[in-house]
Amino acid sequence: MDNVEFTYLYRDGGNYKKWGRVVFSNPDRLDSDSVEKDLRLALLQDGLFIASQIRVPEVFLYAGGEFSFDDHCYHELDGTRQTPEAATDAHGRSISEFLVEANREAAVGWRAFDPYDSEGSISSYLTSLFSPATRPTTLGSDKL
Amino acid sequence: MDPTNFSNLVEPVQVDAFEAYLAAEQIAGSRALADVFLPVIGEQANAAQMVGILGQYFYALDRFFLGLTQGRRPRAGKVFEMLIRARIYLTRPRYFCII
Repeated sequence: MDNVEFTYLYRDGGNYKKWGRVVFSNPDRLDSDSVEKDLRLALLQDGLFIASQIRVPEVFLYAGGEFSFDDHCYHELDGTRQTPEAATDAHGRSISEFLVEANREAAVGWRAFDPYDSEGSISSYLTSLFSPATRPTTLGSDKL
Repeated sequence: MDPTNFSNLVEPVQVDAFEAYLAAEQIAGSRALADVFLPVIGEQANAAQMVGILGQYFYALDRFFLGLTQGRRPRAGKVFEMLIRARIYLTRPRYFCII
């Protein structure tokens, strides 16, 4: 059975896009359509997700540059398909392992952030001084 | 409005779509808050108790609203693309006539 290609994008508020793709090995011979269906159940509505939580490369348009009001924290699932190409996942995961990871992160909650709080910013530094563990965010807050 | 300008055709529809989105979001958000907080606060709680609970979950609410505002931007971009597609589809017969 072919490997499975996971294609995603960053789309800003003005509909400018930047694409990313990762090929996962597929030793369990999963069908790409069922993979996509399961992934969409794990991701936010419209296939939105936080790339760092499922360890796929971020393809932000603002990476290393200036932000605009159209920028945000989410990436978007485009689709999955079978491919004869070799696996490219930097973490060596199979598509089954990737699905497990996506479901686990969905259960924990997708951690939205403000790009203006990105690593290196003063607000990011100040926020890092206060552990989220000290804040009362239970009540299933991550699923809100 | 100048109908020969494509942007002038799309932009008012996009503004209307965004207003409809915000109206639907308010209804859904209100339901979500009720679903989560009413069992915690209790329907007989007084105003002080209600405000106290909201303050207790201040950071949960902070994350909730951050997710909402961040999510509007990619959706706005996607709606723009959908409108362009719909516009092209609706005007397709006219292009066929020209051809």
